[in-house]
Amino acid sequence: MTGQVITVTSGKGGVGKTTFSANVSAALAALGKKTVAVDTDVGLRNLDIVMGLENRIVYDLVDVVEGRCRLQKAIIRDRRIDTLHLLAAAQTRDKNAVSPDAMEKICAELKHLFDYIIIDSPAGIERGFQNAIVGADEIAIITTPHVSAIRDADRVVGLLEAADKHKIRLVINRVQPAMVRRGDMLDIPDMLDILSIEPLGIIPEDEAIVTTSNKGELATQETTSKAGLAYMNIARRILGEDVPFLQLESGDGLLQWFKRLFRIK
Amino acid sequence: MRLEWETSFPQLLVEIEEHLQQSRVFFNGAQVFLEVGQRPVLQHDMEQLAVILERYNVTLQGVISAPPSQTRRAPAVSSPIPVLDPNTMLHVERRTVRSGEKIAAEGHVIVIGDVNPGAEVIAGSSIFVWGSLKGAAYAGVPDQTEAVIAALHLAPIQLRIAAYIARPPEAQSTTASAPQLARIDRNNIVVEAWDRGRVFQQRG
Repeated sequence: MTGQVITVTSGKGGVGKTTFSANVSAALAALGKKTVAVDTDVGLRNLDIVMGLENRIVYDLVDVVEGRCRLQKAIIRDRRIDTLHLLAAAQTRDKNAVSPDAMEKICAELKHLFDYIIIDSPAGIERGFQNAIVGADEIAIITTPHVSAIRDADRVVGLLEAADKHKIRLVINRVQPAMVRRGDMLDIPDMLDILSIEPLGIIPEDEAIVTTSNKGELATQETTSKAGLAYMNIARRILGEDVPFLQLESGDGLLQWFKRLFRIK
Repeated sequence: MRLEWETSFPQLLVEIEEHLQQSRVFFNGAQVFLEVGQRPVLQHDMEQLAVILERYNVTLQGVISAPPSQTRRAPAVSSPIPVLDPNTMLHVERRTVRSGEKIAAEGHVIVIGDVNPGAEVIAGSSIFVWGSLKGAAYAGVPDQTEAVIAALHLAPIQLRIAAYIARPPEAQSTTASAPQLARIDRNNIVVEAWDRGRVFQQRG
């Protein structure tokens, strides 16, 4: 098995990296792919909570790095979707407990065991970020329609290019179509224009996400959730399907919006 | 060499390459100017041209263009067009310069691509951006007051030429996409349409 390592990163904190990692991992698993979500946010781990697997952690990433257990033993299998797995971060250590070399080795090992390895990275561009990207085959940059998030995403794209990572796609999270239409929010073609990378997905603001992540449930299993649907579509695009971008809401100007969107190659 | 206006750009590239091939020795190490007249030139075309020139070890010193508007507009009456020394070193960057990145060079800097917000371009002489300039540009560092900053879309966070600093007005519209050029005129940075032809001028 030769898996694909996809690192989820953003620069800025609070834009939805962990929610994205949990839900896209769940969506890939639901589509039958053996998937593991890896939390590299050592010291501030969250992915286990969002996935509802906190109480099942026995060993974590740092235990594997420091040789206290074998990799397979630290991996938790989800009981709801049996192709979904988690490798948790340690909570009582810091980023320096893991080196990029160690992370690269773990990624190589995981590629033999899984179809997809989704790596959730910490905010920032320091050691934790370096750890998260070192083994990546592909990068998903998460941003929101805020100037500061875009600025940080742009910085991260620059760092990735410098690190010779060129397969980079953009996810725009928490989009509020009504605000975009009123011109109160950055519009999507402008964001794609600035960052000049391919889009992977557009996720609408959805209150259901707050509820599901707090309860450790997966939005992709809620058929009524718009964000859940967006995550499913993203998983399908990762698998190589040509899925049209979600029609967020009907209204004036939206057709124009999509026309402009698809001009981006 | 002179090429016909009607020819398509890909065909032009073929002709240019043939010409370079025939006079390979003559062109080796040469510095050339591209005068495009009123022809619109796309970034993609420029990149292809750059690849060809690189293959024959030819340096593109500058692009001279006259947008269609020039023929209809009355000639500008302000100060003379800045004359830059073509012997100044030239640094060419062919990519998007992103937030947190900094390009600094002693001579002129030409960016073929965008300069995003949060990026910095610093030049001893002039700065030319064949794309959107949305970051910060400092030309003529430290004291070359004849330096200019020009971009196809000039929307910087801040401009500096020598010791002069300019910020765009608060309510600047970002949709104006005509090429613009900033230079020092009577102790102020002025921004004007970049349509007055030669920025580089050859001497002798």
